[in-house]
Amino acid sequence: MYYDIIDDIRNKYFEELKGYSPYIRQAMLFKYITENIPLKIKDTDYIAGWHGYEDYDKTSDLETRYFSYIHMLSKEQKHIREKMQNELKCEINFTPAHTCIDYETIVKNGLEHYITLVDEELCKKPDNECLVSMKISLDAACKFAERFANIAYEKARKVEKPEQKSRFERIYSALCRVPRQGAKNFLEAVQSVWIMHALIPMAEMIWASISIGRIDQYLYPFYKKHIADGGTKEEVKKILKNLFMLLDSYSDGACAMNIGGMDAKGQDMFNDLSKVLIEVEKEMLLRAPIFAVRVTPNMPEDVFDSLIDFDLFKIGQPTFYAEIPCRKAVMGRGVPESEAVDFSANSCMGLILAGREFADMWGIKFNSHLPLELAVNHGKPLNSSLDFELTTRPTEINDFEELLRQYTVYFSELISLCANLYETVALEQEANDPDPLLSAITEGCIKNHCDRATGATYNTVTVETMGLVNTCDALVAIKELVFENKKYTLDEIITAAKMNYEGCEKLLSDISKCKKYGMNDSGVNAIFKQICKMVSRACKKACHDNRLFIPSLHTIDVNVGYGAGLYATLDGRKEGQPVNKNANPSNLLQKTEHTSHVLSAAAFDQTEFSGGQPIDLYFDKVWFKTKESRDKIKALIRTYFQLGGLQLQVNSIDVELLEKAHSNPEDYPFVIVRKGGYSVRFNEMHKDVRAEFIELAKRMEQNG
Amino acid sequence: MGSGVVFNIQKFCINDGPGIRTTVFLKGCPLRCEWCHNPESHFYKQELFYDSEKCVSCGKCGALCAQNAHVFEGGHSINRNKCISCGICTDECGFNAIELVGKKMSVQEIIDEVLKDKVFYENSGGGLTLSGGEPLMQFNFACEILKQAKQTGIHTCIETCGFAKTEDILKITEYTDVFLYDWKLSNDQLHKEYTGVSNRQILDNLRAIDAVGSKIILRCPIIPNVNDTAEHFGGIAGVANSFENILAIEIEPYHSLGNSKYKKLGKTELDKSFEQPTEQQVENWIVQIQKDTKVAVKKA
Repeated sequence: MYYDIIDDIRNKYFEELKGYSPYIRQAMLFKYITENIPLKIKDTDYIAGWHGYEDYDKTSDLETRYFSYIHMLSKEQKHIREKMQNELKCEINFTPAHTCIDYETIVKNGLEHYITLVDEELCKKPDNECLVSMKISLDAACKFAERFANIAYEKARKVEKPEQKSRFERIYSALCRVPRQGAKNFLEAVQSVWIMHALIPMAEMIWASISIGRIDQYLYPFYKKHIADGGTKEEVKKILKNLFMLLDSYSDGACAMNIGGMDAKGQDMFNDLSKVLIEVEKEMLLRAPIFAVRVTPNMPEDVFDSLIDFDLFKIGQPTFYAEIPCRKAVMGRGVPESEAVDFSANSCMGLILAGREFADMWGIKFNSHLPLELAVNHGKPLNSSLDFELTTRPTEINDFEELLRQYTVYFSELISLCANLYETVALEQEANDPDPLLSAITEGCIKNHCDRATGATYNTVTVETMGLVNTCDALVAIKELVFENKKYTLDEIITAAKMNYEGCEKLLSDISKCKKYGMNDSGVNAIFKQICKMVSRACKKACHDNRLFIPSLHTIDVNVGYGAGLYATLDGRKEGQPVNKNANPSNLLQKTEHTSHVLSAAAFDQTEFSGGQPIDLYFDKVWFKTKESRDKIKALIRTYFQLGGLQLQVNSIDVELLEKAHSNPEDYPFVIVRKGGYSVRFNEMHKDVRAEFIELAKRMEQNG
Repeated sequence: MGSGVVFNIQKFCINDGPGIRTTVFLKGCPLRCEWCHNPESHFYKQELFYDSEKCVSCGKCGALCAQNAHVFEGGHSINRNKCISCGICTDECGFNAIELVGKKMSVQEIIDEVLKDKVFYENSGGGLTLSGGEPLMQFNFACEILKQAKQTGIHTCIETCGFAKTEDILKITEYTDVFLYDWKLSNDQLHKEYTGVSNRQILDNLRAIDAVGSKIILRCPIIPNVNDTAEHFGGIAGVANSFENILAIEIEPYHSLGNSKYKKLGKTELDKSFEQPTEQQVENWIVQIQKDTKVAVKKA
């Protein structure tokens, strides 16, 4: 319904809007959405925020109408992009949302802060359309809140119960101030956060992975004041529960809510509000927000204990982040330490500088196996042709070192090609679909008079290295079977892969016995470390100015769909099978133990993969029965982070329940599972993903 | 340094002592407990696991076998009397239907593998647990592993049925931080019937290690309709009360997870059907044992 309404409004104003330039058009479209989207305040609400609801009469039956599009890719670039996407399985796209705005500034100073900055620039450049569009959008954002204020006023007037009247009066009073001005109390601060959180998807036109940042820090002064003024924790919880309900209803699940952390002086930042937020989550057990718990060396043990909880783990909550390695990872991007201390865990995974960075988390989806194909197959992909020129020349592969060298060279050239294509794709985005609201509140864009797609202080593009673990396993198998044991020739393995290993059971069996990532074998770890370093170097080479390309092993469950479209790979993976998920071993590794899994993942420099590198660990319910075994989980997490791990996702699954929910999804609407980066309702997952999820859970159950 | 036969090394173990542990399973056992879920542990020698569901009867293993141990009459089977566990057929099987159980390893290889998880032991108070089979069946090997582990600063446990020479078990007390010591049946006649040996030697050894101050956790497999009796529960409490150094009593409820392994080993005679207890039954057992002893009783 939400997206229908947005389409409907776009169609309604289409003729009027198509006469404007893209900046003004997008600002006006945003304004019309904020003016027309239906709003509701429920009788039980503590903050206002329901919008785009089912009681909306669609006025147009037209399909979405699209504005004329400015094409910027050359014919050759277009051809390469299509070839890369359709045959070579490398996708280059601009992906909106996936961001986190600076809520701290908004709750403290309100949108007035940004309006003033825009006005100052407008004085210098009064006709600049980018700045004018920002002004229109900021004003529309304030008026959106005023629409809610009017509803609250009417409700306060009509209800008779004193408690309700007083509640609506407080909401009305809050909405008369925020988000235009800074908040004066806890309710106003939360109201401001939600209004802005709801407006970003309207501006980006999608609710994809929009995060809430370090809420226990920026709301803490308001919480302290509330308690100091005689307010109670229970009142705070009621307001927060309302916020959580809204987040769970609208967010896609990948809304990261940071908990704790460490300040610049090394002091742990868990506070009373962090604890209240944990209490709220444990009482509600919702899919969203996803808790991003920042583990510091001095994190209070009782807080850590409270998070090792079966009810939380079974819905995939929380995600644990290692504070110090994460900070190092952000600094590895070239961010000064003074800024890096303010990082936030973002979306389902990944790190962001809230309000200063625009993160395109799926900008480049890279087929990590492709450079290996080119290296072993005389510069040709295994299953298609390459009809554009690469500068890398094929060489004879006579030893493993040469193979790795060629893999590296092809990898680097292909990344450079993808990055160049991305630059034009981002310019096209700016030229066609700018987002004036998000740009106005993202540092750098006002000053540079441009869109968040290019103008943020940090424009981060994540390079998703799909199947990197499979490729490492393929390299190890070639090393063992071709160069060490000389059991097979390279051509025999290539031919078998091209035949999807049909009739090649002996080879498959031999590959299955080769060492693999996830076994904590020192040789495999060294190769994976070397590959990761090479990936990082290739991405760094493509960085310039404010544009950062950062590598990632972050697949969430896209590994299933991606694998479904991918031909057989040289690690024995057959066509259509999933590639590895996140920084986990491939499905072809028959047995993995948590400690080996953790040590394998900690063996490469994760700070170089700041785009995301989570591992997923499953814990059977028996682990939660005694404090002694819960302490073992804690020790495992602490050790992983001590060794340099950045992010750890947890699961505790009832396989029997999942099988029932898979067979009869309509009977199990509220089964929540960890999808990869965040939690979702199980019956909303694609059936193939559900089947893969159960398969993985069974394997983990056997091993765990 | 010596070598021995190991049939599994399991990391991140939950039930084999304090902290995060690596459990090394040594092959060979003097007992034949009818409920045993590790039938591949019975014999010291290497054996073949054969999975008929994976086998496509392609005949390649038969063509390679110098002993003619692979029989293809009405399907594929293995003549265990002829098989010498050379492992040639396992290397050639493209369907992973045949697997060699048991691997010869040196003490150093085991220590190297165990040391990979040292950081977890340090952070959790964990370490190495020797299990089996009965680890003391390969006494010199077991003793050397424990000794080397202690020398590298690793906490050690041994999971033993206690059926060994007293001088042997006393010798390892020097290198063993905690004994996970089985007490299966208090009635000696039933012990003989269900495990094949008397419990007297086991009790004597328990007394011997207790006397030298070894720390002991008493581990009691409970099998419905076999030893879930008031007599045995009283016996468990009685044993725990008789010694100075019993830290805890751990109940190990019967489970049937090992049943499929009998078939893979070509053994059907031990594949007996026992009941798997409910959680409530296990809780009741704990209460019954606890009422007669101050030593803490819990589920393993």
